[in-house]
Amino acid sequence: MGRPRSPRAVGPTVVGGMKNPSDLLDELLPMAEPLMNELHKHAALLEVGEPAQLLELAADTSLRPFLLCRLSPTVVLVEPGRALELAEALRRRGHTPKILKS
Amino acid sequence: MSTSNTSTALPLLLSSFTRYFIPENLELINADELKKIGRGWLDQTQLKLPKTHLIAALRKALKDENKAKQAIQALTPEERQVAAVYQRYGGSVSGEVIRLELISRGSLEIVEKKVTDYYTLRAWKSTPIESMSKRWVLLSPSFGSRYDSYHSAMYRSELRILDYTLHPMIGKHIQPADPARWSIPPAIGIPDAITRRSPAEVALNLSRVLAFLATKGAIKTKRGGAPNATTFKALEKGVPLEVDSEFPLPEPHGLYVNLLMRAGVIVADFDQLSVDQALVKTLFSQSDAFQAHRWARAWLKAENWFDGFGPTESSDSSETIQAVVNLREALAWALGCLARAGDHWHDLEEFVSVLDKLLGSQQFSLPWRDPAWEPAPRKIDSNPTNEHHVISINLGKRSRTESWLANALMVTLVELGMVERGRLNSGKAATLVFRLTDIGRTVFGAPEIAPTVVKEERKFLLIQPNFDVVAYLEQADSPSASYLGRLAEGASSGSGPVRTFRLTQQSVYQAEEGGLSQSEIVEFLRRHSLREPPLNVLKSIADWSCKRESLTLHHDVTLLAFTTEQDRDIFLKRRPGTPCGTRFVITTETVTDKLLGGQPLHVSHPQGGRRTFKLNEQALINKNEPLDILQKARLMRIAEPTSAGWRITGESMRRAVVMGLKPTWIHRYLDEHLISPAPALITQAIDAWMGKGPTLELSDTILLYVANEKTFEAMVQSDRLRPFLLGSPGTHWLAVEKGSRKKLTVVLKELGYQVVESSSPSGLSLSKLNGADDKIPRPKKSH
Repeated sequence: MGRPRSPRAVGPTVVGGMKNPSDLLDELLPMAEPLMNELHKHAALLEVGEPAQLLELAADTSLRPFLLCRLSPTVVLVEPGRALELAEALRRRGHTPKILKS
Repeated sequence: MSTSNTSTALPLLLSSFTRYFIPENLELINADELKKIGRGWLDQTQLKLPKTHLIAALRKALKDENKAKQAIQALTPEERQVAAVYQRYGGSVSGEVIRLELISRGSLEIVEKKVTDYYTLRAWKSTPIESMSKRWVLLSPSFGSRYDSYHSAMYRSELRILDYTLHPMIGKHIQPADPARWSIPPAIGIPDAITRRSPAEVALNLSRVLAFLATKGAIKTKRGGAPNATTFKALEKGVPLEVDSEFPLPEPHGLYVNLLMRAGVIVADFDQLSVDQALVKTLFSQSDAFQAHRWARAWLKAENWFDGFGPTESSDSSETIQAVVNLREALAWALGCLARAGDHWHDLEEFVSVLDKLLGSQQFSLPWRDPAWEPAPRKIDSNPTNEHHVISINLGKRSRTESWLANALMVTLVELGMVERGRLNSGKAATLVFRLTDIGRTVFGAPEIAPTVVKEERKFLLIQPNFDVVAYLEQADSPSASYLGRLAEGASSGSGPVRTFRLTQQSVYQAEEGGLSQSEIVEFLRRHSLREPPLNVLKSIADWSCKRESLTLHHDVTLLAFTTEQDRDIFLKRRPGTPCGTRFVITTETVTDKLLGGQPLHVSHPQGGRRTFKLNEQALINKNEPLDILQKARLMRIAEPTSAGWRITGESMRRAVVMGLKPTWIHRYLDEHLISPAPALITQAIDAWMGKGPTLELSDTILLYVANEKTFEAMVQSDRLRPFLLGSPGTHWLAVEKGSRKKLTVVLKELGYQVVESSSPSGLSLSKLNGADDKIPRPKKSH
């Protein structure tokens, strides 16, 4: 693995003091609100140690497409069928994700 | 090294896992054949029974222990000897091995009749195998079929023997034979320039190759199941392996990958390879001897890499693969005999020559390519043992079989640490010699030669504060060396007993992903380090592990979503699961609809979700069922909520681009959620909105409509009219150059045509949009 690339920020983000991190996270990764009970099979989730880490990941356009919505302050639903691609993208960015398969 | 058979002894290397059973379909065999089978199993009166009764009696007898004893009584002493040899191998062994066993014991003999210098006729003097197989004392996969008799005849002509299994009831009452006494005299003298590799070095290389491939996730394969060329090149670069220029091993990475595949630690699934981490952990924690035994068995069956030649090529037939497998079995058998005969150096030339003769001068279908190492030609004064030797002496080369045996023995098996090679004398009198290493004797000489059990802890690492790790491999065993190979990056391609590695965040991460925990890693370093590992190294390992723990990707999980926290809590009281936020649960349990309160939405992630959307040309998405969280999250990325429903707009697409989405992702979303295909106009518009659409041209053009086809054709062909015209957008239509309108009108009137000025040409009105199929007519090709 080469040297990790620095994150590319999402285009017109308004981090410049106007929005607080929580609002920004809501915009980038909205919290999921089920309208009915749902059963998801073979889903992929990304779990971080603290919520601030999510903002960091979601602000990176090379990772953002993989992350769909938040299920909790620290868990994100991952695009179906893209889990291993996300793992590879994370590694390219210098992260060391723990991969757990059920 | 002990020579007694102890509980730690390895199994016989050449035992076959293939077992053949008593055929069920006796009805397909004719009565005469059945009677031949019945001899030994049935008494004379039973042999005279009608076919149906004969079959019933035979079926019963073949499962009857007393009848088996009776069948043994009916065996000749030679046949009993054959049965005992099969029993030595657990009942099943390949035809090639049994052939060598029986020839070396004098149970089989070949009669030769020299026709010319280049052709000798050979035949079995007598063979007990055939009569034993006819009476089902030996079982094969194809009894009673015409194929069997054809196949037997073909093999008889080539003096080969099919693979058989000794009838299990007979095997129960036959004592296994002692090992064959075949050997060659030891070489005289003390060799020098000895090359030997320790089991630890072999385990290290294998684990490094494996650790590298594990980082690649699912690996695409090429024909034959080997990793694709890109992965192979990366592997060669990532794990450089040194090759001895005097005894070159062709494509060593290919050998290692093949061994790992045959050992089952690299698993092929359709066109992808992956690493079985659980098996890796088990296999690499085994002793030197058990690991070496596993690699030797893998080598015996490695079909995609040939000793002396490297990876198989498309021109290599199944016969060639079979020839290499048979020769490996023969070589392993011969090395087993040498192992049991004592710990000696042997002359290479004498060994390959005697073994080739024992092989009965068969013509093996080896590749016609030149081997990586061409052994020195047979000495002129040596006595040719068969016609292949005569040819090879004339060509100034070794026979292909001899050359292959030499490559397998002096290159592959040295690489695998089973054989050491050396030289007696120097200059022209130099002779190449070899000897089985301790581990080689254990593997090939099993079960008579038991492995040495070493219990003391081996300290072989020197860990530096700069994260370099110096490894003294002579002090290491296979489990420790393979652990190191999975944990640290190789700092160079160097071979030899002292190597330098480096602990990095990446290497520790890969080790943890491979199933090693942080505490295991630290314990390993402490246990094998010559002094306490530096604190900064241990601290960094702890930090790296913490970082990994802080980001977890769970895949293939079952996720439950609830509309309220209360519903979720009710579920968790009834079933186990891990709560996630206030409305979600991750579970490994099987969940029924009833547990989820009736009719939950089912979302299959491998299929991309539920298909409930319709998309029209206004880019409006209509849904006829409630949205699930996956659908909603995706819609929020590509569309905007409006009073009429979700709508894809230029603005929503711009947002998607900013977010990093590519057009292919958007098309995939639609493919996965739409009930029917997206309108082509919107499919194209998505590309256009995302900046991938083609440029369109819109212009004011003067068109001349010519209703009559002949007139239209005449005008298209006319040189006189050409200066006024730009071309034809379709039949009946001509585009007129802007500045030539008046001139063209004059010319057309002069030619007698009546020209009518029109803002809505009658030709266009014929093809207005309210036609039968509601589509704009496509212009035909202009002439």
